[in-house]
Amino acid sequence: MRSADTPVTAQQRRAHRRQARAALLRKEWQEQRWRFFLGTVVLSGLLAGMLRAQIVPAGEAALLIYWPVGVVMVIFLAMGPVASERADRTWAFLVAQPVSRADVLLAKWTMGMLQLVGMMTIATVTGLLAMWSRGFRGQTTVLEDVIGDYVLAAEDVLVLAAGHPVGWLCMVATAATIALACWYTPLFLLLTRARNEFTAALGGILLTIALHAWLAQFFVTLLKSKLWLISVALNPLSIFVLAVNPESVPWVSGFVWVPALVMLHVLVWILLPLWWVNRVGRRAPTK
Amino acid sequence: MSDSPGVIHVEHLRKGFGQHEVLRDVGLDVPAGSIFGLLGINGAGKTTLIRLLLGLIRPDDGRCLVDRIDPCEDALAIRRRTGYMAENQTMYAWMRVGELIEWVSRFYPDWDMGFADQLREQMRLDADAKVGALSKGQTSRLALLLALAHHPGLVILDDPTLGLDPIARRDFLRDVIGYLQAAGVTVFFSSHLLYEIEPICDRVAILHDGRIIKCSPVDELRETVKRLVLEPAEGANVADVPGLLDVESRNGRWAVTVEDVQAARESLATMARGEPAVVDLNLDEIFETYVIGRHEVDDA
Repeated sequence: MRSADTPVTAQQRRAHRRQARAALLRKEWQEQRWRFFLGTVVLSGLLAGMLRAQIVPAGEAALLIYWPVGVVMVIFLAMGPVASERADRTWAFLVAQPVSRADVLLAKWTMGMLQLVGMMTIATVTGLLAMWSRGFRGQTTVLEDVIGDYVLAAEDVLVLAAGHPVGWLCMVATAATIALACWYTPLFLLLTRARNEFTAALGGILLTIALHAWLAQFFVTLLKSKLWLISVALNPLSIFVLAVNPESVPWVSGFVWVPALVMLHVLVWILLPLWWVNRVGRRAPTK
Repeated sequence: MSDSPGVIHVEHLRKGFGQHEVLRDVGLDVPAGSIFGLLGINGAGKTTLIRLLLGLIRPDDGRCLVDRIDPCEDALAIRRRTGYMAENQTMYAWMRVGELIEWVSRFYPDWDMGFADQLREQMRLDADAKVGALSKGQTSRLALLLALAHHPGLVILDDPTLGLDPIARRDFLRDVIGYLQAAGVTVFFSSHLLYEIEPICDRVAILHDGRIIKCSPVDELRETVKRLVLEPAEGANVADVPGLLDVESRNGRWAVTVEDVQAARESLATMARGEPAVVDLNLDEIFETYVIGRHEVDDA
């Protein structure tokens, strides 16, 4: 046994911490990879199927898949890592190892985030292949039936995206990925309190409904109140809405606000929660 | 308590969950190299005390030191140098034994994979077996292996044989005795099974109702805590007996259990007809006397 007086250099501590984090990540991958494979198959299959079948225009298909299926995938990824360990009673074994809760939670969050980004990327590539297989025909009509008034804005986006459906799909995918990542982080942290996956799933669904009720204010108060719009702009999913409808922010033209909004969302919904986890998770909890 | 703090030093430790106060002003010292038994009925607060020692939860008040480190300051350093086996320890059922050993090794800088392999062979654990397919006895042995393979100076075992059948319990205790006594490490062994602790431990503490009500070497406990059977004289008041733990009255005779037989003998000589008979107690009976006996004193 190393005595309390034996010096351990900062370099050794860092090397050991890196090794422990790698082990945590590896275990998370082994434990959660089925979610990634299942999610990728569902997301890619549905998107590619809709784009290839051309039942609806490409943009509409992307919205229909990335939004509802993407949100379900976020719940699916956020509900599992901690709640399943609590239910299986392996959580006590995990946190009793010489590793901080912050590192445990960050490893679980990181794996979920990588899986989310991976799923979205693979689904997008699959969607592009599906569009390519049909020669990109019939892909320029977007959103008309879905959000009527914003069809012009959407067409503007299409123009900005080099007037090509590939650009449009990539832009929608990027906006969706950022928005879903912004929702995944707080949802993951909130669901770490759940005792089992059923409670976590229920909590995830209720929180996501509340999120959409908040987001719905965007459509109700659009062009009426800047205050409401600012409030809604903070909604984690608003990047998705605003990116495909840039003209819906009437006092700012084009994409000027997009980088600022993205940075704000990443700060508020990803970096601040992670900073909090890193700070609080270094100490032992009260119970 | 000795002047120099032991490997584990606890003073005025308090911990509650909501309105329920689990530990109230707990203090104890575990000397280096000892095999220390923490006795307590289910719900006495044994697991809470162990979780506080490992820095898995924070105390409400008081402090503890493990190997001179405060768990509130550096819990990870304590866990790196301590072997811990939780009660009913559940590990990843989907991992294979070898895989789990390799994974856990990543958290311990002093992990000795050669020793881990040696222990695994001695414990007859198949590296390719799924953890979920192991019997309870094998699971306990695997948990013990994980607690020992980094050569900890302190091993904390929290009710390690809970749920094991008698044969598996006997095998497990044989392993514990075999490895730990030979290694000369300090062992902190919590249990509610007295016969389990008795042959292993050299010191015990009895935790009851959130307090340490007795902390002493086992031999000293056996030598001083005795039952005296006597016929009381007219007007004798058992409440005057010093160190009274328990009294039972039957057929006009008293069976008086006392904390210090020497001190009590002098007092009882004046209130007994004839010389009281002294009865030796095993640890089981001593524990029962401390935990349950007090209420009977009130009734007497």
